[in-house]
Amino acid sequence: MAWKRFIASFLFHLTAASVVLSALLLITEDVIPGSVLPFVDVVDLLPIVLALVIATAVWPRPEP
Amino acid sequence: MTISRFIAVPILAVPWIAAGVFFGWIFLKRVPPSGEFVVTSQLDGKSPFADPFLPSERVTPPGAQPEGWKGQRITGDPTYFSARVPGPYASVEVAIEFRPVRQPLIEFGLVRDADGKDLDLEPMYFEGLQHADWTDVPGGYVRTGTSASRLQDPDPTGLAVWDASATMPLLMDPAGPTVETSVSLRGAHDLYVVPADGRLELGFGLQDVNRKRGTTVVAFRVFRGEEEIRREAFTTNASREQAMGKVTEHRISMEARPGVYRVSVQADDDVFIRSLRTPSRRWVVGPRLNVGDVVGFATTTFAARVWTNSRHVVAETFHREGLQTVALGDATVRVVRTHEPFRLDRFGSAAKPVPLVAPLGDIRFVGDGWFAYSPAAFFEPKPRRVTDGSDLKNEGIIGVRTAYSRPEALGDGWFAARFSYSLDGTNDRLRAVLSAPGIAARAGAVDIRKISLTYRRPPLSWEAWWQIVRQEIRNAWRRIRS
Repeated sequence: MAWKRFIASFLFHLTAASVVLSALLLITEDVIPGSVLPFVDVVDLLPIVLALVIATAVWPRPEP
Repeated sequence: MTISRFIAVPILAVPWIAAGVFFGWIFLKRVPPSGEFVVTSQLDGKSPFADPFLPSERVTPPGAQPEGWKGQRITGDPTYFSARVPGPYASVEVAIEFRPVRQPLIEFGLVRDADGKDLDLEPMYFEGLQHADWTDVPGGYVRTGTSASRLQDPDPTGLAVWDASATMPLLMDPAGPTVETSVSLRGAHDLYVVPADGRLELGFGLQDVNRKRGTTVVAFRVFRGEEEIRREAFTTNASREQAMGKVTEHRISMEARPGVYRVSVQADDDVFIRSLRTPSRRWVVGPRLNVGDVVGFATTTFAARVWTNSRHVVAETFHREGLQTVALGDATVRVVRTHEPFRLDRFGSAAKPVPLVAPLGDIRFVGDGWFAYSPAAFFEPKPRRVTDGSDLKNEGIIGVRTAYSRPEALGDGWFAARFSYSLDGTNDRLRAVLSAPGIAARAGAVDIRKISLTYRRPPLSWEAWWQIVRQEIRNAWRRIRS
């Protein structure tokens, strides 16, 4: 069960880092137009972030 | 079984480290340490930093062209190109790969202000100077066999200029009898005069025709070369009169040194110059000559008969009474509609002034040379301007003062031209203009297959990095507040 707890924790950190990075990139593109969009289209990454959020939410958390 | 913290913590930190690295990579793309950012576009609409040429009615759709190359074909004039500036940079070099098709002259320039009025066009290509019989020398080009020092000689005979200045010829004629010439010129005009015996003496017979209410102020500005040396004003006698005003003389009288004097008469079309009295033997008008009508002034028409070295003249009349056949040397054109320009071109190798005749007057001319009221009065105050209609051989041109550098030949009719501009670090976008005069009339085109923009600033040091970050923050704050 420890590995299930570890995977849940890893999913959480992965999702949190993705959400923070996406928000940071969107804000940066908004205040400095052309600084992010020519290199990466953040909107295309949002489905991946959404999938991670769902995966984190549904992953079974073992009882401690 | 538990997983050791020494293994779990680093693994859990990987997403955050990856996010930081990714953000850092974006940052380095935006602020490259080398200080150089290169954008290359084939004008296919795929580059986020360079837009295709506009407006769409003057260019072909971007991308693959029927002849099998990629880019855009320009068929109208002017056209505009815009690019997104990827940050605060000190300068940009624009490199354009192009192919002229029946288009002898092309210019390119950057628009510096939002209204599009601060524009400085630079020479990009001129077919006339591509030939091997023109030699590149300091200050411009000379026909092979001509000394480079000819470009520095102030005598404008045989010289042309393209986006360059010229030295004023130091001319002085002996005094002669005062001669009065009937001219009937309408509105603003520039006169170029050679002084006589140390004096500049001009008497303008001015008339306000009262076709609009109120008095009219006429300004006279006198220049010696490019230096303004006097300014005078004259108010017409037309405050409450209903009828045409009397002809009143305004005199300009001053000491003069050797040179060429330009008298700029600034007035609206309600003011006519009916006559000019001067002891100067040589004086010309140009590049605009507006021969006004004589309605209410005379009972017979005032024919326009001048001598000009112009090879290309545009004639336009604003009254039905001005519809007529105009002759420039042996070339003629029938002006059959009002408010429409009609072009007159003369070819052949005669460099001497030829008669320009409009038997009914009431017509406006704009030429690429000068107009004189007698052959003896003609002189060239400045070198000719290079235009898309210039024929250097037949016009007897032996030298061209210009900063133009021949573009690099890439083969198969393609060339590469380069331009450098400074940036002030606050630009978000660049807007450039490509000018190809007369392109539609000759069914020409300019094919563009690649544009490269190389943005430069000094390589990063900690101090430079901090300056850039501050500039980006200032720019972002300005955008948020606007």
